[in-house]
Amino acid sequence: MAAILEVTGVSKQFPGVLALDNIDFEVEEGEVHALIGENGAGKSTLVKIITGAYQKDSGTISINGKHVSFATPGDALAAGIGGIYQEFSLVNTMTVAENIFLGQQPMRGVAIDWGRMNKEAGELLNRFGVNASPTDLVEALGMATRQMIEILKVVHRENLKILIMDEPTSSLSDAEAKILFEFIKALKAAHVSIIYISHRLDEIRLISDRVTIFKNGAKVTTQNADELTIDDMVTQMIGAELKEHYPQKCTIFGEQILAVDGLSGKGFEDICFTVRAGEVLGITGLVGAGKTELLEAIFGGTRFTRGKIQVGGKAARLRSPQQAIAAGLGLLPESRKEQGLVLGLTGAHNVSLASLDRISRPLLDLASEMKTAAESYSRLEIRPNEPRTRVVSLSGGNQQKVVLAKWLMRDCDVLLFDEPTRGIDVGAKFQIYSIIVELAKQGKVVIVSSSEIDEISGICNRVLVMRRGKKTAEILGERVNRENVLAAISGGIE
Amino acid sequence: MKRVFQENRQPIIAALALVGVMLVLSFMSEYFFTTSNIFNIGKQASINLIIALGMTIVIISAGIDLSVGSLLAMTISITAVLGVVQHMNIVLAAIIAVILTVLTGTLNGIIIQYGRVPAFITTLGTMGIARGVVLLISRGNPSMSFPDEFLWIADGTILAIPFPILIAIVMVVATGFFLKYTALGRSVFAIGGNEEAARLSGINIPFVRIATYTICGFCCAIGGLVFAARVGAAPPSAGMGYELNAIAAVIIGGTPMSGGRGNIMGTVVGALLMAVISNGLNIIEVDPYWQSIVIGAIIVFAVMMSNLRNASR
Repeated sequence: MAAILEVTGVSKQFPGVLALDNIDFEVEEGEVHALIGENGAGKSTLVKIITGAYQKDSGTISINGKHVSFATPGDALAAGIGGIYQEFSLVNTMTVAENIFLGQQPMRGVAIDWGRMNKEAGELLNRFGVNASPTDLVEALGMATRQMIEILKVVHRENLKILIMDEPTSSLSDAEAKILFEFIKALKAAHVSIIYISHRLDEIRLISDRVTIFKNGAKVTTQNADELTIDDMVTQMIGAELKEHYPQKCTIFGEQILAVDGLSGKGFEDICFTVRAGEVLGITGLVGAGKTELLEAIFGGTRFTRGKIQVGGKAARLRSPQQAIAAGLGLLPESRKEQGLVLGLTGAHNVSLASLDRISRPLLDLASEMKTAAESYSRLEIRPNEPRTRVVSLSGGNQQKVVLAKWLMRDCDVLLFDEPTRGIDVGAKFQIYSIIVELAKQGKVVIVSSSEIDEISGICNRVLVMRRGKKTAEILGERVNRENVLAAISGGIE
Repeated sequence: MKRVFQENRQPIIAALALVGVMLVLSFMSEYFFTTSNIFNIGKQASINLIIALGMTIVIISAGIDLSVGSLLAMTISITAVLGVVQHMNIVLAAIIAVILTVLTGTLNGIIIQYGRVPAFITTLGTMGIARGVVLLISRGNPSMSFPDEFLWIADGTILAIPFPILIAIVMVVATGFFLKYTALGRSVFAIGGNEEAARLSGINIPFVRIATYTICGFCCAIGGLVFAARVGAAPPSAGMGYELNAIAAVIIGGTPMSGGRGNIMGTVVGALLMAVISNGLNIIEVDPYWQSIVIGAIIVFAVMMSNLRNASR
């Protein structure tokens, strides 16, 4: 096979940081080439340079042996290189067809040929088995479907030679990811090369031919995927060996702290469970199972229609996040940027956001606020270690740690974590796991909702499996492992 | 140090512009740098500044208040109708006027929060309604004149400093203090930056939102009293176009319309810059119609400078 894309000696300097240091990299025709590394290692920067979103400082890029230099992603697309990125680029208020054909609408004279556009979009959706109509508004679709539309949008562009996928499975459940992998195989068969960025190492092993590992802006190695174990990858990404992936679970439980009885609301029905102090309860299921809705309702973010919640043995009235927080609850929401953080505020201000009443005496005690923030920054190893920096400039993993620091400052009895490690790097992931277990050992209740079977089975004492809003299984103690959780989730599929 | 500059780029640019304009004017006119003219500028700036303080808070919360000019007129007319026409004690009349104006601000907040009407629309509505109330109760009659003791608000001095300037200074300090050192002030930034994250952090969104419009109403009321004392009468057209001046001061000072950020010192500089320019153009005898053109150009230019620099990073 011949190299379709060759990157030689590419470097990129950002103010204060060398983002890429003399990178050599090549992609062969019809290959799935994975890029892995911690957040900030340089994967995304390289991809953005290849597609013309950033300009390189030095080095060359060639396609089929010819030097190229793209000024914009539009130029790259014209040359057959297209990408889908972590943040979707769909216009939510437009239809599926409009999105797929955005900028390339079939015309009849000066007017858009709507009939043809919808027909062609419908054919495309059919061909790839996507369950959506060309006239559906994107905002009405689920995350998984939007993802597929996003991919179709890129694939539809003619003559696509290289597809870049950045964290394509981060918002998909395992079953949906499998559908995506089938789709990737079909693309390979059609001689499309794929540059695949993901933090999920198991799926990297599953679908990629070769793996290139980045660390601090430099390339560590390129190897065949079947020669690498997950441990090898983790070791080379973070530079030191991670002996124990998951922290030792807490095994001694105290009194029952939280009891949810017959809770029903939008997206979930008749959910019952209890959790004891020191216990980590996992809630898992496919996307759309109602996990997020359940957590938000317990936290008072949305109203539930029926059922009761007891906190610490007493009936609790949780009609708003305010009341929930007063009752000792905290929620690390699914989407840190939209729900977890005020991006324009500093780290310290975000950390204290849920505890303003505690630092009002009656004026805000800014000194103690800064002290608490600095302590959390050190404890959670948030980088840069500067609580006065606005959180908008932090990487995903560090942003998530700031959200975590907010609830640590509040010192909640019950912590609800919704997809706590989505889209963050391995190092930060395991830090968050060890904090979760540590909190449990301090006698807190931790509920983790996640679609990642690995982390659910790795850190939870008990796992609740949900499907279409209903609890379908509960797995206890020793039986909590990857196989059983996976079986319980997929056993629910008819 | 570098960060301080980066975070406050626009207010610093505006402050430099202010110094520059003052230097140029002092060369063009000997009269410019006299004590009486400086105090004059201060008095001119004070009303706009007092309103702009409330506007800054509202804009930080990602809102907008177009009704400020009409609220200011409301205070003036209610004070005049009660105090002059109805011969009520002027202090009592003023207090009632202030309370009613503040409550109208509260009403703005309630409608925006619970009626789910966008702030722009709500305050556009109250702008018209409050102006109508003013015309109704004063029957379009501008000749009501306030008693001399009331005029002290504008003409009085403490330690030779004109009282309107002192009021403005006190309110600047209070607003800055409010935003930096109170939980409510911090919450204003939070709901402006990300309302959903603020809500999920337990911040009482309705309370904070209604409070911002209430405070803005209070600023309008105080501005109204200073205006009434300066003019000595209650023209029903008082405060027309003031919403634009207040927004302009906030924007020139570097508080973005998108909310979540803001700077009281910037607003002070913005209001002073506007007053200095209009005073300077008067002194060097430029056609007053040009003032509006110059201020408009400065607003666009200030935001353009800031945004172009941001984009190039």
